[in-house]
Amino acid sequence: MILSSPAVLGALVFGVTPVLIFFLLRRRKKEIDWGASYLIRMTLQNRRKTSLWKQYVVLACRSLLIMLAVLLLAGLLRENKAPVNQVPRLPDNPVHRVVLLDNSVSMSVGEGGHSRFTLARQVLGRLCASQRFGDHLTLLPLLRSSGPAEVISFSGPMTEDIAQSLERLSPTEGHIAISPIFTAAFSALARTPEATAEIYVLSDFPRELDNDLAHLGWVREAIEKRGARLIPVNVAEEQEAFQNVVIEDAQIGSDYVLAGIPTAIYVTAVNHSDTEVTANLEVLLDGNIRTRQAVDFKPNERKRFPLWITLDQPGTRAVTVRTDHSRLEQHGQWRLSLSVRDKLKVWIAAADDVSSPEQAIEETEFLLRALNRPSVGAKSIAAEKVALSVLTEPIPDDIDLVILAAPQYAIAATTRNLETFVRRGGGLILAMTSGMAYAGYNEQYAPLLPAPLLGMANATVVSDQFSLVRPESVGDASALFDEFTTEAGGDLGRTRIYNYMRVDEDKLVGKVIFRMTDDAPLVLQRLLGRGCIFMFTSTLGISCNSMPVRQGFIPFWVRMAHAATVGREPARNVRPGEKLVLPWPATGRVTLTKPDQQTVELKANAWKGAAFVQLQAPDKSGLYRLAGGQHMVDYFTVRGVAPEGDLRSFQAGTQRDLETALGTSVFSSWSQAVEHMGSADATSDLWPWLLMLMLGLYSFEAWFVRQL
Amino acid sequence: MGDLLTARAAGLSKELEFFARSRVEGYLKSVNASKRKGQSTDFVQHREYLPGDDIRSIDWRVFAKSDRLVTREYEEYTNLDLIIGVDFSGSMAYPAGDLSKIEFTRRMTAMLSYLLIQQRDAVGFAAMNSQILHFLRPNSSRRHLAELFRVLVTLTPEGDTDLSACIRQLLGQVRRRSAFVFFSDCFQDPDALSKALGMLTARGHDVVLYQVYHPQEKTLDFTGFTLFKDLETGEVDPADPLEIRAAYEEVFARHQTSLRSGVGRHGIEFQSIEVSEDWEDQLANLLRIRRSRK
Repeated sequence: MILSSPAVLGALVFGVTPVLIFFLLRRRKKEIDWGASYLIRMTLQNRRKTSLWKQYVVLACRSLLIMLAVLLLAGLLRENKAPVNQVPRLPDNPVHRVVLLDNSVSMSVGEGGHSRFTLARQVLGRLCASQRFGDHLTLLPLLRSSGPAEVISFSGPMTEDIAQSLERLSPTEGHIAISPIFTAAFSALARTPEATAEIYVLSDFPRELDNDLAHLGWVREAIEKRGARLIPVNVAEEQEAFQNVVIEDAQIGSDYVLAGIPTAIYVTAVNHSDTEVTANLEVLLDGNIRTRQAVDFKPNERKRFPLWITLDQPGTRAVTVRTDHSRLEQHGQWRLSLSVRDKLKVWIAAADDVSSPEQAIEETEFLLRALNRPSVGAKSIAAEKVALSVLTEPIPDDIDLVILAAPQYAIAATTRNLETFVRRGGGLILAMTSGMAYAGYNEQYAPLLPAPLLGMANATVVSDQFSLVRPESVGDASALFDEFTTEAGGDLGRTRIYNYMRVDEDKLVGKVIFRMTDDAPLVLQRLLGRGCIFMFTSTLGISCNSMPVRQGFIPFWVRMAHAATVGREPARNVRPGEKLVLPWPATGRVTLTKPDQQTVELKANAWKGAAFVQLQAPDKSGLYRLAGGQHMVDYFTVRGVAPEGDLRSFQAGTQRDLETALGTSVFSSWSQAVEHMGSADATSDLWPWLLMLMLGLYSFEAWFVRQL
Repeated sequence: MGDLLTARAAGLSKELEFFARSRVEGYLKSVNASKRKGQSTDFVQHREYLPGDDIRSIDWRVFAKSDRLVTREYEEYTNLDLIIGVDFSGSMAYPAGDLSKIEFTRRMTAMLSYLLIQQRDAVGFAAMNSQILHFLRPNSSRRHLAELFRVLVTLTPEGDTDLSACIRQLLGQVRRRSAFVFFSDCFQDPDALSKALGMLTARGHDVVLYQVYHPQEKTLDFTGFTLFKDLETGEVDPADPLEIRAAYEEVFARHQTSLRSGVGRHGIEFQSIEVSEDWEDQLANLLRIRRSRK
């Protein structure tokens, strides 16, 4: 590396000149007739004691003198050029440099392989390369990942091992906490109390640091006490203006969708830029774009919007939601693992005895026909009417949903079966009607009811006395019902509820999904085991509400059925650390492929006659693929919030606060920092030594020649 | 002969005299002082009058003052026998092409010989290297001078140098007290040479040693690695003049000093002469120096 320096090469070339001349002259001998050979011999005899090596010493001295002269000249010439400004001037006594390196995701921003992180690493490399014997350097990454923080600490000049360790550094996901890192920095400096202390912060100072400023009040005092020098450098290039739309979430509300039924994927995205953006959002299935939609964002706007998708083929699928307006790829896409179910098997259970109200029987039939109607909205549901007495037997495993169509009496013998059914993932919808023995319900179906029943709101139905459904009341209760907050909700909102069952909300076990305009609950939810129970406080038919005549009736009931049966499918979109249990066709080896394409071998175990793959969701977010015998392929997704979606550096106000807290300015570039500290141009410090060395060498050579 | 002795040299010779510093014997009344006291104009000393002394030699002034009878004694000048010894060893041939040492010496010898013949002194000649190559007894005739010149131009420098041996040979050949003038580069052991020359002065001879050297032999003014081939033995000594120059000059100076002090102990006049084109002036200067020391 040193030989690539022109000055050094020139010094070597010119320095060899005396040696060349020496040997050339030896070759080019001339013979002369001489008259004073007596004196020559006497001279040579005196000099014979001087061995050849002394001549070589003189030769070496002269060669070295020339080399030093060339280096000096090169250094002097170089003096006139603009300073390199790459490394700050080192203090005279040993220095301990602590480098706080931002290795968060935002440091990946950059063009053509030249990211903020590569720039920071170059700076770090220069600092390491300028280490002298007696100097120390400690590197502390800002990011605290799930593992121990990688700390590199060494004394003296950088070795090859250290250089390789630096090369292995790269941005990673995680949350920055700068205050603890400063604590670690001062702990490191405490090991070398005699050395001059310098703390470098190489970061793009992302906006998430705003939350950490309040914890930095102690740093300024600690710096003054230690006598350290703090050099924060913003490695983000100024005037960076880029569009950056980040997908923060995408969910359906269920880990399965019904085949043939349009399902909304609700996407939450935010525009982390100061300009308006129209971003293209796409939904891809198996690499093919199924949906594309342009979405407008105002500056810094967060938005939640649906992307509709209809999947027809049953089976497990991986769906990708992405945008082309993200600065970093990992921020612009979201994976969902879905199971596409071709059919939901529904039992509509009604009393078959003459004691049940006639209209209840009619309403049951009404719903049955509506759900079994071969229309677009209902082809995925296969409903079947069953007698209530059937529920006194265990409910078969292939039944997904039981709709209890308001039988007059709650049968105790059905409670246990229903409870077991729901706990094992089944869905239960309880419909109400006037004339039902609600006290018995409270007694027999207490484990199932979201809230105790208090009786019908009205004794009779009056056509001009009704409540309307408030679709917006669903709020964040369930994503499956989000569509009703949009255009579909307009129709639902015109549904009149003439009569409904009142409930004791004080004893609510669960939550209210929909309310009416009189604030009474219309739909309540209770989760039980893996399953879900909905209670519809009005009738299935038109006896107490006008829903059946509205266009939204079937979509509403399809959504109800879908929402109630979410437990029928194992969870596929989980949080890190959550337990996953996925059914598998057979026991044996299963290969898990991670998002980074690394594979891990798992095992499917048998339990009660069935095989399952059981594992804990890894920390790394992304799509995971399971594959095993019999060509079985399954997916699951670990959901994680994309860290550091906002890649911009802190705002001006935050910068001032930070500078106040730290007691120093944040330099906008490394060059500025070096200029402020003073550049350590190696040659400018070297030339006086070169000159002294030359003079000493010349004096020695002159004296040595005289001695010869 | 015309080349050896230029008109200018001949003219200069007429003006110069060669004086033997010590008194020598001679059978002609010449400018050289004899150790005999005789009739001349140069008063030497007073002595007591003895019966039989020439009355004309009584110094009456002294008698008038001191009432003592004393006689004056005067120096008696005799002719000079000068033997010029010339080093004809190989080293005197340096440098080839330019005015060499031997060429310079020839001219000097010729001029000196002519001078002596002019002042009616006898001049002899000895060509030497490791032995006496040719010897001419002192004679004051012009025919002898011509023979001397012939030998001078005929002989060529060759062989080793051993002036000591030659001088010992001369001792056996020269009985009469004479003056010796040696021209040589003296590149030999100075102690041996001084000792040999001292033997001559011990016999009452007057000896002058002129060291003739070329300027390059003093300064070693060469560049580049050089093979110095000895003109006498043919041996080659490789050396880098640049490297050894300082040491060589020191050796040269030390050698001269040794010669000067060595021959000086025997009362021998020593002069170093650098070969140059103005050899006439050089010789004239040498003789003036000699006269001033008389």
